[in-house]
Amino acid sequence: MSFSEVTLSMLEGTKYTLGLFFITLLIAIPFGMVIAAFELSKSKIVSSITKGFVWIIRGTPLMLQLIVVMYVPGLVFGMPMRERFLAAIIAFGINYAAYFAEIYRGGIQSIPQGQYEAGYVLGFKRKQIVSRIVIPQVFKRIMPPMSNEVITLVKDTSLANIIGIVEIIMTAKTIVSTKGIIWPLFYTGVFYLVMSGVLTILFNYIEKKLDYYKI
Amino acid sequence: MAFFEVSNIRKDFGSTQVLKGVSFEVEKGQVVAIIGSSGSGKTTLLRCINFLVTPDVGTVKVGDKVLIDIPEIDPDQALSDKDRAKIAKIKSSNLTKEEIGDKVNKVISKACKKAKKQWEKANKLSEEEIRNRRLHMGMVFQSFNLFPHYNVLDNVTLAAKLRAKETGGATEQEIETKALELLAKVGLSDKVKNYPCELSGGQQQRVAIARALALNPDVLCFDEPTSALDPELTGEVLKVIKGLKNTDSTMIVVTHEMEFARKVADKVIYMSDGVIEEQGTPEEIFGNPKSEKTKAFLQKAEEVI
Repeated sequence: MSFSEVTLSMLEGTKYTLGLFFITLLIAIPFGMVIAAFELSKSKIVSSITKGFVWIIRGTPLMLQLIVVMYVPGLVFGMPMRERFLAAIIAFGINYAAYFAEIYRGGIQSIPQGQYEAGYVLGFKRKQIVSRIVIPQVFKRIMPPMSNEVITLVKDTSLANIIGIVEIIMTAKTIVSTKGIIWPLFYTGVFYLVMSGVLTILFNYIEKKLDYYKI
Repeated sequence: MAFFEVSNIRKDFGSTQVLKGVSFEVEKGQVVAIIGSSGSGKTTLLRCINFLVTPDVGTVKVGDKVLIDIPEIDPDQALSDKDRAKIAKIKSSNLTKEEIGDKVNKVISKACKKAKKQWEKANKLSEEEIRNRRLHMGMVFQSFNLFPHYNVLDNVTLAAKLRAKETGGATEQEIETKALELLAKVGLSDKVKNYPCELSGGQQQRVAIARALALNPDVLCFDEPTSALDPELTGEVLKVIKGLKNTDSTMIVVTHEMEFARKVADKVIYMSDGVIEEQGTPEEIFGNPKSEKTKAFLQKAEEVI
């Protein structure tokens, strides 16, 4: 198999990697906000249940979660998961939402009480304090940990090969086992480096844009 | 009737009584300095009259508008027939006197708490009403609390602009013109477009003062406005506050700057242990304090210098 043939089939795998990456972000970014809101809820019951949920998700390997989402519906409920990609999206979406939620929560809690108080004495509504004062600052604060987590996600997508998603690593493994050449496996690194490189540049750009003020 | 009246403010945090019934009056245009050692309740008092802390009991009036009116719960009225029966039963039991006293007090305080909750429920103010009331007051914090992501001008105009969007009134142009005037007054015309992180502490505090003034409060409160500042920056902030004195602003300043209290204030209040130990003109308080506690405090303050 020539270099260009390998590249072409790996690009095919990249489609799944990127698809999983973007759909996970699309789910996890908003869902993480919901989890963070529940974690910060005044109701002790709601916040403890949510914290328990986050503990389970962060406390077990993503690989295990993939397997659970893929096989438990069929084994326990008699409704086999028919779409492997859907299973991957569910597992990744929930897992990353839990991690994002912790980042959001940390960001929200790091805003000093004085900012809320200043808003109140100036006659702001609670809603205005949240939208005009808190969220913009939280946005800046969470950028570094978010960029870290998003770059991790690119690499984590490779775990989806455990349930048979034909992403980059899976593609390379197939080539290795069918064609008897080993180098495509190492070649996958280039694909991940390009993707994480683009993300690094993007996040640096955003952080620079937000650099006009300091908290 | 005085322009600004605070009467019988009380506040407990758990079992510590922070304010034990504080009352004072301020005339329009007066500057009142509140002095006292840390933990005497000065800051809590300011926070109470600015709606940041809800007092347990107390009344605050500005002009003829009542801002806060929280009545004391009368234990006699709070007790239900059931509670009374309970108390009678405790009293007729063969416990020691102290145990009976303890138990009776528990029943009474429980009944009072319940009555208090009921009162709070019945007299709950809408967010709108609280906002309208608190706008009679202005507040400048020890730690400035500027909004770091807005520039100086936006910090000063944001609240007024949001307000105008809701209720009409001034145009954005008018709000900005006024903000620029205020910033000139605090000596920061050249920093309008800067962000708070680019300013010194003293400059940030002056922005905070302009920000509070932008909403035309009836009474402007300062919570130790210079305590977070280097000595050389303290002067510029105090000068601004002194400058406001001639503009008809009514001000309450919690401060550790005795010289400032002596020279600028029309009235000085010395607080100790959650009560006003002594109040009077600066001459009276500094020149001829009547209370032993005031004397001791002032002596200590002198010693430091």
